[in-house]
Amino acid sequence: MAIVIQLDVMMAKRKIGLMELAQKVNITPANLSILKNNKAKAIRFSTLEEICTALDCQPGDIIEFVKE
Amino acid sequence: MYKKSPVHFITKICVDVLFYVGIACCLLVPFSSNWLVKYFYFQGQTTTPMIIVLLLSGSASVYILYQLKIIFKTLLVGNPFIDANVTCLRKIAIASFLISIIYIFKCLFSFTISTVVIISIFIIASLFCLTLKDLFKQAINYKEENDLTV
Repeated sequence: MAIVIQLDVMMAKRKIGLMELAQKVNITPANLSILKNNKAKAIRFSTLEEICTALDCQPGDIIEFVKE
Repeated sequence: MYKKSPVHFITKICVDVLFYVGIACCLLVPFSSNWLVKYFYFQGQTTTPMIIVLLLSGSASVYILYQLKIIFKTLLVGNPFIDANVTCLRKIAIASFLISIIYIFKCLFSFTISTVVIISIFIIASLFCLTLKDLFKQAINYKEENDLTV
């Protein structure tokens, strides 16, 4: 997959767990796990906005494009 | 979100009843040839081929009902858009086509207008199931995309 989610890296930097982030972002831990494990097919702008707010980062810190 | 409807339960009960009645009828066909000859129009010496036709088409019909039972089970659980149902619909289409072929074969020794109607109905049913199968496949893709959108 060309687009890689680096959520776990950012979560480690901010020292925040999956459950806590899920609570802050207002999505289920199962959905956040799908995102974290690169299984997601799409991400809503609203979710991205809330994740960026919770982790205090830019979308580019979470999403990375890798050339295949 | 799945909405429970009494229509689904009633249809499932109908399919269940038809399934068991179908099995009983198929099992009784070899033993009821005298009764069948008395009540149905068989041309001359066509009793044995007719019984074979009834047995084969009856078995295919029971198989179709069995596949429908599987589909209804998933519908009542609330998750009908799964790959297993696509396979079920494909099997139903094949069984329907098989029934129409059996009745085309039947036309060779006993031609009736109602047989032509049966052939047309089952060919249309087969095509309908193949279309429905593709629709289900598309719905599964949409559902998967929706489920995997965070």
